[in-house]
Amino acid sequence: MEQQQVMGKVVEILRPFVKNPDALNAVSMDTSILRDLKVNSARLVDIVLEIEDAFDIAVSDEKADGVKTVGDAVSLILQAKA
Amino acid sequence: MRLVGDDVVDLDDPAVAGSHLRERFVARVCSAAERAQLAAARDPKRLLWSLFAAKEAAFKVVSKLALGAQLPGGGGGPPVFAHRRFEVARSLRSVRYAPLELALRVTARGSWVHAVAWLGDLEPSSAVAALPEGGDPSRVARARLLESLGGAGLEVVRAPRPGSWDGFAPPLVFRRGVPLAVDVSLSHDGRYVAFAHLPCRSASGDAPGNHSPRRSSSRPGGLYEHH
Repeated sequence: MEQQQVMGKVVEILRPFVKNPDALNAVSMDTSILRDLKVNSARLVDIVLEIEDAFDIAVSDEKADGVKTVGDAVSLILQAKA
Repeated sequence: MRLVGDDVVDLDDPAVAGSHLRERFVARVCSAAERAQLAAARDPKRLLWSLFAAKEAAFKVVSKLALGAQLPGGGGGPPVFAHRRFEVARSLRSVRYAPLELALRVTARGSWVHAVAWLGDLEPSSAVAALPEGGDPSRVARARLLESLGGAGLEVVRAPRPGSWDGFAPPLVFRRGVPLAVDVSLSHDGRYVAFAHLPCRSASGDAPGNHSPRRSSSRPGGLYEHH
């Protein structure tokens, strides 16, 4: 799976949880999920579960804790699928 | 050492509506003991989000400790924010993270729950307020905190801190550029904002004038009124 495909899918997973939808129009690998997209930390658990389902991977607590940006999520998925 | 963290949850937010029914969500957030408590709860939704808020509040305290490399056992670096590792006592009066035990107060009213976790001998002051229509939750939470601390000349500063959970260091309160010896915590969710504060040193020092923290031992157990 290509990085762009994964990123597109991640953005769609994030969309329902984002409080700042305009930020999704300019999303990049450096976009902070909490700070820029204003996703509430309580929703991060839901996002991790959605990623696990969408990509058929298991995400450990340690790996999940390391996801700060959209790029972090994409990298995590690509590594898990490699 | 006195440190405080808090978290508020809006129970009417559609995003939290069915989480207590999702087994994988509960398994990701709760320990085995907490899951057993939830299974027997009369109001599992309220209990789940009380536990969740307690863990988030405790995480803020542990993160502050980690900033100063004061984690017990010499553990440096930030803690992993794994909700399961923050275990809330059945009484909702304490949270344990590894060997560290934090005091806890959980208030549940109407459609919100607010958790305050702390270290030290004083119980923090805290409050929850409604977010005005169209209000910026961060600004409103800061304004409410500063009102509680005495207002005039105070400002809340969060310095950028790459690598932290939201990219910023914990909030500090300054009066005309001088940091106050008070530890603070801010939170917001949905239609609510909240704060907690606690003097870092003796209340006779440079903490603001309207503090009324109480000795921890003076409070009854269980669920608390806000104060």
